[in-house]
Amino acid sequence: MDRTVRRIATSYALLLPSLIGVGCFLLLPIAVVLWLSLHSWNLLGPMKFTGLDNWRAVLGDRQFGHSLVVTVVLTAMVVPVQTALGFGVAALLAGRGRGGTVLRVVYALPWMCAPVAVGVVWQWIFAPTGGALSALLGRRIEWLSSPVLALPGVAAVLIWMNVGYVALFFVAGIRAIPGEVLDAGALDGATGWRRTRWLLLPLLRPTMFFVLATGVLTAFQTFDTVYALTRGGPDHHTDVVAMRLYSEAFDAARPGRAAVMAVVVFAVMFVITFAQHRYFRDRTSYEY
Amino acid sequence: MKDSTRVVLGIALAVVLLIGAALWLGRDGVGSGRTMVRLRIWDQSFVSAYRASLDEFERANPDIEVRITLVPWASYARKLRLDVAGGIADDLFWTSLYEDYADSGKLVDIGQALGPEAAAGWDPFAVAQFTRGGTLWAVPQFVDGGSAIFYNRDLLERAGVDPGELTGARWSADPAADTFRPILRRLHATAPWPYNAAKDFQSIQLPYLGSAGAVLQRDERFAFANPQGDIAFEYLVRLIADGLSPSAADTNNSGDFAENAFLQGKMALFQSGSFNLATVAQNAGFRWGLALIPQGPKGRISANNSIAVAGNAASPHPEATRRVLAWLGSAAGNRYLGVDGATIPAVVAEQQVYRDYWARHGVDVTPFFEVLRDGWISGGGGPGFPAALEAMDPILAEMFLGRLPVASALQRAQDAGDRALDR
Repeated sequence: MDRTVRRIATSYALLLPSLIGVGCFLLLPIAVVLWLSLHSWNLLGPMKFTGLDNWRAVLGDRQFGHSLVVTVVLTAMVVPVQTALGFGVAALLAGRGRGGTVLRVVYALPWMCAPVAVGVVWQWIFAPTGGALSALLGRRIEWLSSPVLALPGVAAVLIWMNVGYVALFFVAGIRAIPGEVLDAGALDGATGWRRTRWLLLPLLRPTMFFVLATGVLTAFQTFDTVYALTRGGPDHHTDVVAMRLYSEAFDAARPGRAAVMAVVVFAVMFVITFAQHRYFRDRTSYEY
Repeated sequence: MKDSTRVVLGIALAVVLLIGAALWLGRDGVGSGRTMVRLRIWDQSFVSAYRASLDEFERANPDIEVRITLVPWASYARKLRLDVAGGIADDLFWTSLYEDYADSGKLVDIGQALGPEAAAGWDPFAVAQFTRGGTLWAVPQFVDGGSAIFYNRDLLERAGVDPGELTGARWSADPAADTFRPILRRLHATAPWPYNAAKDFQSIQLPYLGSAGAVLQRDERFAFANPQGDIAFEYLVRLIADGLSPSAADTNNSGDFAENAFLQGKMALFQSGSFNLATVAQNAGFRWGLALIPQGPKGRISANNSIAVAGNAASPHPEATRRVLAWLGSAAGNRYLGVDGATIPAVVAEQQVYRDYWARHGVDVTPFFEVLRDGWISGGGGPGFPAALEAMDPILAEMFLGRLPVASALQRAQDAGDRALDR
């Protein structure tokens, strides 16, 4: 066998496991979703080709538009706050020794818990009668059934879950900054807020990009916690897009329309992530 | 041997072991010479009764092994639909809303499988519930009976209310004719919540609709948005607004709130079904009893829901499945469900075992049966019914919270339900 041919064959043989993985677990599901989006099916009867009917129905569905807005608002509440708090926690914990390790684990504990379990516990905490918060505040507040408070309540739980996880990345980022750079900054008077503003934040830009990008993606896919806390209520005020998608696929038994929603959500997430990438790519990167 | 060769061999061995473990775990007993039939249910508390029944079946039918699969109620309907779609559903499964499956040809025709005379011994309400287009699609297992009121005798005594007063109580939009609300007002002096008016489909909403003279559906279209429906729900919403029932903020998202409040001695009257009887009997730390629900303008009407076992038409063991179905519908197989008071067997001749069990424990369960004398209200059904309930739920939740006027909420809910059915 010709050496070039053998080299190419070897390359493809080495690539094969990855190609199989990508094909089975990425490309095939995407193809199935696109195929489903063109069909009408109730999961029990025969499947019917309906062309773009599902697309027309979903893109004209005000409820789906409402869910997208709710998701964007939730993301806007959760991501900046969890990033800022995570950064603050990391700034406090990065310099500590053994105690810092314990604290980092403690902060990350909520993230390790099953979202549904977290939702159930917080549902009790938020309960107007017999709930921990009502007992603590000494007054009855209907957190999860109030149209005004329900979404911030859900956001608060998500922030509580994610802060420790975000902090772990910032701690790693801060520790990767050479001590000389920070020492030099300190000699030049960069302490306190100046140190944060002019040293840490610029040097942590790659970490910041990662945390923001994954934060947005995670917030957009929020489902379990909302399902356990409010099931999208009251009156759809917490009806995030993943809830709508789930409801469409399994409650209404219309996987075709759910597939369209999945494609739309993917497109929105892709655009947001691409924009974030462009923003951070054009900023200075540092090499130590 | 090179390190790389060792690694490759190690990986290959691991793969072989994993595949072997998967095959061993997934074995279905075919190799044992017995046919394995799987029965899917959603309630853990029924496992022991079914096991006892099926053990007897297996002794008489040594060529068949029946295994019970437990799928929690919260995910039961969705998982069943997906499994049926994927062709991996169990041979037999509990069902209450079966119409989509029947219409899609996924269920065994019981008349054909067991003969038309099989239904003669079953509760007629249950047979009617699972008959569609003249065909019976499932073997009834148990009936809930009607709704009744569990009362806290201690709280009633403290409020000076005789349990006998409950039997004659009447709810009405006309204050002069309403004798139920005055009782609740008296009970309010001793209990934080006298009663459980709430978004409880079977035990509250249906009985009030029915006793107001309304129906949930007519010809598989929703039909409750009318003056009778308004009267029923207006009454319930006012009970909540007046503090005679817990806030909907507590009960809308927590179906157990009222039951827990009753068991904690904070609720005087808890209107519910026989499905809560065992729980109350085990956990109530006070004297309690059962009474008839209040009469409405059209009498005392309750729902009477049943659960049945359906046969999977795609079962790879149709004959074994048929034999198990026949056993579960027989008096001998069905009576196990009532022996320990868990539920009311669907075989009418065996319903006495349920009454006897509770009589031995000093509980008169007559109200669950007597309430059905005036008539009953259908719990609805039809293709798309579960989706319709989901669509209506948030609107009714807002109504119970007092944020939507009753008449417009019912109309909106009805329209949303019908739209869901149309899909």
